[in-house]
Amino acid sequence: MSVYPHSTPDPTDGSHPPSWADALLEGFCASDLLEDIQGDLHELFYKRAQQYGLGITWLWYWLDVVRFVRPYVLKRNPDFEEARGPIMWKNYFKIAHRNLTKHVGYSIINIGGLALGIASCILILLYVQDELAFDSHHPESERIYRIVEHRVEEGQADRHLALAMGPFAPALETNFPEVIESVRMLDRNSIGRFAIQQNASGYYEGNHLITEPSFFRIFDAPMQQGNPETALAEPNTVVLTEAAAERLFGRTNAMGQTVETDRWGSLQVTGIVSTPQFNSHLQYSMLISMGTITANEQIERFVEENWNGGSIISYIKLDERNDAATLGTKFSDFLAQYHNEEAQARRSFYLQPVQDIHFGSQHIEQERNASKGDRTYLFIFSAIALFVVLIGCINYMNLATARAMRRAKEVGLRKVVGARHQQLIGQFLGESILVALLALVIALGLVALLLQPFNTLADKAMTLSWEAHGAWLFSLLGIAFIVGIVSGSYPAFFLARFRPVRVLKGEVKASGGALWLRRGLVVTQFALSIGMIIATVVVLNQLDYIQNKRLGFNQEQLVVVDINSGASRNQFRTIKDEYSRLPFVEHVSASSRIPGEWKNILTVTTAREGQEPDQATAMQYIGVDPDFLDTFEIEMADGRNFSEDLAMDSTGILINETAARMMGWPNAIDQPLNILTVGTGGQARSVNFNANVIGVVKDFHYRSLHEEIGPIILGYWNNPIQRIDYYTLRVSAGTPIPTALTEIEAVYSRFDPDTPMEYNFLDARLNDFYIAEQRVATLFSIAAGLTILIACLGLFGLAAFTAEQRTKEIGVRKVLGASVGSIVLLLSKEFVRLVLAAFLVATPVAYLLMSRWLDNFAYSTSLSIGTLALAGGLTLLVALATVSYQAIRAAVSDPVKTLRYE
Amino acid sequence: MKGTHIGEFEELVLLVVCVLHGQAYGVAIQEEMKRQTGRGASISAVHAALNRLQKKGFVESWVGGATKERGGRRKRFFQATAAGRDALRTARQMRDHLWNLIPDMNTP
Repeated sequence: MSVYPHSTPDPTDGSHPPSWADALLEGFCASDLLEDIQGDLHELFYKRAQQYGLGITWLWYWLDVVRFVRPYVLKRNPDFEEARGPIMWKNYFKIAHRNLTKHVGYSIINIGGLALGIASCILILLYVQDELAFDSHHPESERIYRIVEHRVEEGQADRHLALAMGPFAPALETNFPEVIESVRMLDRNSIGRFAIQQNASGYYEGNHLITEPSFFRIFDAPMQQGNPETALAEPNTVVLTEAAAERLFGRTNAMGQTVETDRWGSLQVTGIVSTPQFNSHLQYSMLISMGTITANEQIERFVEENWNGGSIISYIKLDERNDAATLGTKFSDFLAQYHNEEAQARRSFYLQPVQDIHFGSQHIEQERNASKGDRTYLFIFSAIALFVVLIGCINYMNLATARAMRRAKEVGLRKVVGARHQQLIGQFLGESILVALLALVIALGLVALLLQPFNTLADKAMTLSWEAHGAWLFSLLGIAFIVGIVSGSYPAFFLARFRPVRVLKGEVKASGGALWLRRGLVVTQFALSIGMIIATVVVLNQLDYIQNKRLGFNQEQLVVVDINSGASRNQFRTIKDEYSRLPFVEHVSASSRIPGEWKNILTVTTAREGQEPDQATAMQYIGVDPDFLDTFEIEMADGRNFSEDLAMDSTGILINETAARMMGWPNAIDQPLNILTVGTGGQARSVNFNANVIGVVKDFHYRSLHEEIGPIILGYWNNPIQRIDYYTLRVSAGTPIPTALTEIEAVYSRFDPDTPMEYNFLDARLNDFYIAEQRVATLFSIAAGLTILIACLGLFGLAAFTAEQRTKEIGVRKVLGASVGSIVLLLSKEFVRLVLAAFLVATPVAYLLMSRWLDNFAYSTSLSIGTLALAGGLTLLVALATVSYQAIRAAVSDPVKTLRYE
Repeated sequence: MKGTHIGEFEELVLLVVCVLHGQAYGVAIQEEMKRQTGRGASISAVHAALNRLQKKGFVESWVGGATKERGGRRKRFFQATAAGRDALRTARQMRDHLWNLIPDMNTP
């Protein structure tokens, strides 16, 4: 770059030598020769122009320049040209270090903010990666599929069931060469639980799988002890997971030991497998051999020969061609030999890739899936990760840019002493990149520190490892580089262009462009923060609403005890009496299901008088006793409750308001209702029970708030629809739980000594519906907190910096009589405006997004202006607090000191 | 020794430098050469020759005299060194010596 001003007015017509030719010359000519060569050329130019005219002189000039391309003229190796390389680096390091430590506060804020942003991003991405990698640890997992049935039902939406007929999977393996393995399983849903008697105590095992040896050929289940080929080959054998082995046998080696069960006698332990990984949909405590249950002929026929049922969990594995699509099309033809026309029309089967199960099973019922993920939440979390790191980077760049102005003097001096343009750029960029890398290192440290708490929070077991995450390091380094370059580019390019004279005189000011950029960045940060806060407030509100909503019954203080045997069931009046004798029990009720049921509530089809069977309406059904309403504190709207004394009540039913509405009965009392079938579709059992309505209850939520209240019938326990299955005890408030449970269990075992007692607290179980939302709420709160923290860090630094820049102005103002208040106002004004702008930007977007989320719930809070205002107000307050600290500090400073700063 | 011989063009340039006697810089040398000998050399040729002369130690240079036409760029003035003058003298003597050996220049 030439040191000289470029335009030289010609005495006659203002012309000058061709600048491109000059540029070329400057490009190749060595710097020590340039001056006199170019001088000579210019001199000749003007002389010739006068003598021969402009045209030919131009050409001549070009010619002369080109002819100067001679070896001795050309620039030599830059290394020789000036002092570069390691010599200068020592100085750069020293200056960079001094720069950091001179304003430790700023540096910490800046680097800390960036490190925090990167660390949060990494943690969230780890979570996302873990979710996406669900079930990918099985060998060749992309070739493993689950069989799912698509069933068409009359009058209902299509159903998808993750179950198949018993003989289907092995038949596929036999008849289709592309299917190389198949495995079937049963669990408690198909075949029920069983009790394990170990030492003196017993308990119900419900997390088991009954399966075949091919299980080990398909799924990742490393066998610690035992032979995977033979472990499940014989009847009455079981393979325990390490967790189960420890639970049952403690320190003793479980191999070869026996597990005593109530249904199948003794099971011999033939293997120990590792406990299944966290991110697998298939979780189990033990694997029992199929032979154990097929010893029973009926079950064997059901599993091996029944083509009309559908209760077996089935998986297959394909060969390398992995052509699931083609195979799927062959199912229908294959099944024609086993299914009649009607079944063929209604039932079809397809293959679901095992890696899709975690996210892609929202529409599937009856599945064994330990954790259904929701893709939308994953997007949300990824977006949050992006936000957080974005804000951190923006902060860093903003502050670094602002502070760079301080170094204008340094730049000027360096130029005077002889630094080349490139050197300056290199210095600033290098420094900036180095600091970004430092932030990266700190971030990695933070991640290592926070990984365990995060695991607990997110209910996962993630680890950092080289194989899994080594590639990330490169991307992270790349990001650090980019952040370093972008934030360093302002000082590097902008400052380095200054004329040393102007810089040293202090005439340099921030250009308009930089100011707008900074403003834009602050607005973006705060818009994101406000958005996060709004989202969090909405989620928390909804959660609170759900947990406290009047469900139409009182879910607190209720202990639910399962009825697991005839003994427990048949003497229920006596049992109820015994329970109510316990001093802390206020009410007892027996019912077939309970509100908030976690098993399925029975569906029945009903018809009014004069309705044809095909016009039947489906309703839910719970069988209750006369104490049901009192125990649950459900209110009646009309009519009366059941009464023990009236024999005719066995055909009486209570319906809820929704049912009455659906039937079109303004007065439902004494209306007859025929219950046609128990169950619907293929599994319907015809009952034809003629009932009549004796009362109407107010609507109550018998399912999660995700779903609307539908029509439900409360029938008398004594009718043939459904047997009682639970005792529900209302326990008075303040009773110590352990004592209560001991006494309840004492009563239980008096009547049912064989089976262990199973109990639940209703409010706790109801909460389980909303586990996903609770987790979201927690994560959102943390994310919101983070974004605001980082944004405020940035604002803090920026405010401090701006205040410092205006110290002289403030000093003058104070001298002229301005009050502290007016100065604080002056300094805060701009930032307040920025936050308001952010509010305007964020609010509509957040409103739209959160309304969509709330639609997930049939019952939800509304997104009120209040919420939005709350979020905005909160942010404004925090921002103000941040800024005002600096503003007040500046405002109370001594004008003498500030004005003396010269 | 290599480099101590003076080329024909270089000799010319050096002579003009001596003629200009302290006022010799690129353009001036080029113009004077053209004026006195009719030899039109490009400015780059002149500079190249000066560079070679300087490398051989026959001229020395200093910087000074910026003008407006040069955009404030200074000129580089050249002056013959003792070695340079010596080289010129040697060359002239060598030529005279050869001329004297020719019996008759007028007949081919």
